[in-house]
Amino acid sequence: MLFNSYQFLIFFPVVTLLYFLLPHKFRWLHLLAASCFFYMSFIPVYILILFFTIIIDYFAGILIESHSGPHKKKYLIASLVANIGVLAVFKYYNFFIDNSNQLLAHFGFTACHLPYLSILLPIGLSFHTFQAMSYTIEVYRGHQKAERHMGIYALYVMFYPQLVAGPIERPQNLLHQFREYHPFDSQKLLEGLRLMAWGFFKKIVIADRLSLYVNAVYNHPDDYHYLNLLIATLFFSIQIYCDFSGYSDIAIGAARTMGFHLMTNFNRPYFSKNIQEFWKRWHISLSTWFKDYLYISLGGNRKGLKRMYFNLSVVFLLSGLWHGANWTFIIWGALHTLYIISYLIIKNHSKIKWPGFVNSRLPGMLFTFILTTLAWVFFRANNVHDANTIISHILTMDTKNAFVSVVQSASSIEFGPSSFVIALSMICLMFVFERLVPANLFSLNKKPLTDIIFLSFISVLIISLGVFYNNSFIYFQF
Amino acid sequence: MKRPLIILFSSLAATLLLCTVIYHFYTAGITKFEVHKRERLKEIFEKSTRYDVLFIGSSRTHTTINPAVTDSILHVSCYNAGVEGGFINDFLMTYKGYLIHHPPPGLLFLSLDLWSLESQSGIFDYIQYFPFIDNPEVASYFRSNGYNTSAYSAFPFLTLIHLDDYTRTNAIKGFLGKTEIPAGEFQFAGYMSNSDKTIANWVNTPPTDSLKTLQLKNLSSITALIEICQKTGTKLVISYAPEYQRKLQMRYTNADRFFNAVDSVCIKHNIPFYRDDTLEMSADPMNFANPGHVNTAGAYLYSKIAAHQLTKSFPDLFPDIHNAN
Repeated sequence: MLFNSYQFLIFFPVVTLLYFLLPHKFRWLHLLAASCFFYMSFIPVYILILFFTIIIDYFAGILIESHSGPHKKKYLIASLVANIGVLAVFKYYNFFIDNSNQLLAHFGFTACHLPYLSILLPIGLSFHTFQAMSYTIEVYRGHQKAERHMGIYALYVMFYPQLVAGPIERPQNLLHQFREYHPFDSQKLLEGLRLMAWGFFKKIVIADRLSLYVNAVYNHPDDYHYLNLLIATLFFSIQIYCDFSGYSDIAIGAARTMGFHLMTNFNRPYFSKNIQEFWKRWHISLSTWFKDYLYISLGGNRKGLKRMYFNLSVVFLLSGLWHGANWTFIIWGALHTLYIISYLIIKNHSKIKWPGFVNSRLPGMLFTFILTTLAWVFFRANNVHDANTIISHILTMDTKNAFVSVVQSASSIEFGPSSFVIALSMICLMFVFERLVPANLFSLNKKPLTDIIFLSFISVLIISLGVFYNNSFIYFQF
Repeated sequence: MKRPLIILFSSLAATLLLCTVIYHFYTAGITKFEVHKRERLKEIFEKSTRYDVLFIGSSRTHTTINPAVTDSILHVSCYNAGVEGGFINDFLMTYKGYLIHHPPPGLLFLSLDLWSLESQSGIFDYIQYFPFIDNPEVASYFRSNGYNTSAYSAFPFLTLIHLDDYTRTNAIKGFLGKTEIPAGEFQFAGYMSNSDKTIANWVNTPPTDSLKTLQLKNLSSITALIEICQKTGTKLVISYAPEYQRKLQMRYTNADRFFNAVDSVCIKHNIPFYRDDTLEMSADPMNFANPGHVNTAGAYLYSKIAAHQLTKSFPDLFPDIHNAN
């Protein structure tokens, strides 16, 4: 069930209403049942994978807490192996086999062909696996008590708003909220709906409109002029932000209507002055996960500069691999490794005195946007060859017939001048609004009239300018 | 506690009001801009005039057959019910919807396109039919494709969510007083003239590196249409409209498969199948505004040819004309 579907239009109010109508002691059960229904609306059988990891991690948490020394570690490792094992089988097995087969063929072992698994990737696997792992790690570290109530623990993993695409929550933030009583609070309802409306606007009005152009161009990059490729690449930078942050806003908003508080996942990342700041603002729940559980475990910046650069490389390469079993994602991670290490080297060692304007926010923002956009080419391209084609075509900057090519392609892509005008004006509206209003939109609370204007204006834009093709969210595939 | 709820309900009320206003602007604009399409669909789905010959097909029908010409040759009343798009379901829905209010015609002239059988159940472009969901057949097709027609009847502004940017732009153009019918063009009984432009200097060749493969998913709808005609005592003829030097067919890897499939259905049910892409006029660029659509002169010429073909195929329907010939 997609957030941008008619089913969710019924599911969400029914679940929220029932939540408040039911006595507190039954609410966890109601949310768990609703979450199971939500997840099973994709591929029902894959809920068994969730149950498998839930059972493993539930008992692992109790065992970790009740043991000390090497046993404690043993149970943690067992839990991590189970979670990573599920990821390895469902997400990375075929990638590994594909590369192994190619390697074997390269060395002449053509008869030796390892078999592929014919399976679909369970929706949101990387998200709920990482959330489950954060639980056992936190119990191991003593930051979280083991949850004795299996239903509550299952709900922690399966809570429907953030089940399939995050934010990847920490047990300290979320688990206790399921035990707390949340009375109906119209203020929270308003705040939640407001955030959901903003998320839907970004997804349906901007991301899904841009996807029409991006998909057409990126699926056949050889057929398009460099200007088309450049526009599609810039569009994808905006599309992925609107798609993913839109999802996060809807998830956080949906949870908020029931009184739950989920962590912020995006904080206007394209306003970042440098790449380091970008990663503090983009997919915050994942980047802090890697920081808390991998970077710091590897030693962080406590073991010298070289080790820090190594640790960063590991984190970003794994972050790339987390997104998908494809070399394009690994290259995307490698590029960000390069960016961040270069930035830190320049920041820490450069003795160059840059002129004042270079250090001001705007050039930094533009430069960071260009860097991230370049990396998005690999993220979006269907394969490395396509990504190379796109970048090399863009770099040719062949101005011959550029305008004609863009105009002609607009009709074949069905993305005419009006689509350009609507897309660009909505993007401007979004950036201006996000610049003026904090990410959580809570400042609107003080001005009822502004709030009414905001809500009705955004709703009207969604209804009258939305692209309602039931498009999935990009991050569902991860 | 109360204030947030007041904000929510006020926002909801404002949204409904604004959307209703926008919907009325949209309706006014698109009705003006697509006046030819609206009038044709209104005639099909809402009026009850009796026609002797009904032409059904896509834009390759409504720009191709001029009922003024066929009327004058056949001495009957013809109507061109060509709709935008070319799926067989559009044609089936059009004909079933037509029969709700109109008496059955004596002859149904069905013009298929290469891609007519591509979709199993879909309609080519739902947007154009939204104003006519009061017609039970249109409503039935909408419902069977997942549209909640009650919701659209109660809140017509919900139509807005189905618009694409092209239609939105057309609505604005219409609101500004423009119409899709260019200056100098005209309509008559569903036919819309398609300019005096020719492709005499046309140099484009179809792309050969991205040939598409036709899927014949919906041959059964032709049979459904045949059965309806048999029940109502309506004669049926199937045609493939003129096309400049088979340029459309060259875009597909298996155009022959389409023709063979339609041919076998026609042979089985003893229905004439006019391959009008093979007419002499299909080789003359002066008859075409683009490779798939004839121009005004081409339509005049083809309407005469089609009328004479009909007199030969159905001498009992047009005895005077046939004997005179």
